[in-house]
Amino acid sequence: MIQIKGLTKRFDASHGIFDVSFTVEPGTVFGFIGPNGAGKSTTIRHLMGLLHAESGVATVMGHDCWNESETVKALVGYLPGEINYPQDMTGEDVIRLTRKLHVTSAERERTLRDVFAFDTSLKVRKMSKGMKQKLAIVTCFMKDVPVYILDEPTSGLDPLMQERLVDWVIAEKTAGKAVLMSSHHFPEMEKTCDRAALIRDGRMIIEAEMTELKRHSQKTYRIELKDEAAAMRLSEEVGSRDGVVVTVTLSTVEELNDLIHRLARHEVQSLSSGTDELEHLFMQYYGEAK
Amino acid sequence: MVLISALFKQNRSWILGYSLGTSLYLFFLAAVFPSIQETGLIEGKLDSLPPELLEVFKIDPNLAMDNVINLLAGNYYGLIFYVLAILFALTFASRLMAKPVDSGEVMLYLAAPISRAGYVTASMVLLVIASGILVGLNGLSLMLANVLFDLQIDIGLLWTLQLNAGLILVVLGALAYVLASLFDDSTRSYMVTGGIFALFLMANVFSGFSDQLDWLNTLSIFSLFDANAQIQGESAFRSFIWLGGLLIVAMLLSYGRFTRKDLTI
Repeated sequence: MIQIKGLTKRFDASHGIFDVSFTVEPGTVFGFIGPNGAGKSTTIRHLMGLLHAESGVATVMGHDCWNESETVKALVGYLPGEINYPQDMTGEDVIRLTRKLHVTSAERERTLRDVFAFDTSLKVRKMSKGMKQKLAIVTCFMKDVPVYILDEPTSGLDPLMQERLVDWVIAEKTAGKAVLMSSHHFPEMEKTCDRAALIRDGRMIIEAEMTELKRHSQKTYRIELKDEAAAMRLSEEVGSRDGVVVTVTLSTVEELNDLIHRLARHEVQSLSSGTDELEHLFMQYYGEAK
Repeated sequence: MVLISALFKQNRSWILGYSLGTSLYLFFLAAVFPSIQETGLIEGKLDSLPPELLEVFKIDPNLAMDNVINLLAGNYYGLIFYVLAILFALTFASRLMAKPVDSGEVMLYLAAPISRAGYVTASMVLLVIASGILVGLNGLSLMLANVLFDLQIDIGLLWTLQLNAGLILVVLGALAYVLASLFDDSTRSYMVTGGIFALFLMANVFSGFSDQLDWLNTLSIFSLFDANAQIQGESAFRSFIWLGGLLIVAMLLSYGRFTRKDLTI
């Protein structure tokens, strides 16, 4: 459905993307993760026919994204990372124009307006970031197309709207659509993605099934015990201590079960998990980059 | 068609601003012409001005001020129109190319199944429409004044001037569009284009200071719109051919540049 093979675009010696390859199959969501400036948006711009690659190919349903960009854009719903609609247009103007420029579904439009409700009579210049994001979401998904490309889709949305977007993306996936999603919001990636790739300095450093990524990731738990003596005893067995709080980092299910057995011998005051698995993995790779 | 109408809707305020503003100016100048002609003040005033200044404003001292078109040759179709045409072209290129690309607004259109060549074509059609509205309303305002105040305007000459003025607007707009497509930064493109057009204007102005500087006028695109020469019966055909050629070159360059340009939006 979406295929990128050996895509290279050099802006200068160290900036650009280098030999990026991945495939997004129908009925799957592909997560594209990386720090700012890693090359996520540059890769997406190639798919939208905005950049011409030095080497490699980007195709959507077999159509070349540069040479057949008109055909590709008819097959793709695009949610840009930066929402820049003309400032003097109202939300209604943008939706009306989208209806004219694209082949859209009236039924989808109605549902989207209900799910991501906002005041469409406001001019873009008066809209908050969240409202502009909702407008972009509505105009992106008004098109009933086989492929969606979402660049930071939950940026600026409140938690309720984030949840709704996640549900919407899962519904599109279930309907057999191919979704490429770049994001820094790890919980939504964990909920929606089937596969994910990490990109750093323009190079793909890992690409795998989400289950595989989770298996390789570490999870941190923060355990608060009743007194320092108990915390000291536990920290000697696993983790590190700060007062009555012991922090434990685990990689496998066996290690987790072992921890639960050990905790059964202590009086635990509270237990909380640290960063999400995917985020933790990302931070590991990001940390290496720094 | 949808794209053209969307672009027009987005740009109609400045197009109408230029068109109505200049048309009102022309109408009022035409309206007061009979009374200022009666007093004979125009000739007296012109006689008192240094010839260099008359040249700067493209006022021919040999031209009798017995017709409003003759008056307008110096008071509109000269320096005033050249400055107006530069501002019009800069506004067009800024609103249709430099700013939308710099800010990313153009993505509203480029995310749709529209090719870049389609966007350039729609921009050029809008340029022709905008120029047409400006010179059309200018011409109509003078025709209205002609009917109301019996000005004895030579309608053929009036519309030849309007056509020449329209072509200048279209060519300058297309050149500004090409130059804007060379840059990603709208401020820089505005400055470079404005600088080049200012050089055209200066070449035109300085050519009037001395016979030895006459050659400077050939460097300026504004030499292709000489209202005084047309009033004195010179054919505008050569200007039309040149302007048509320049327009084709500018349009081809616009297509060539924008369809190959990397857009980091």
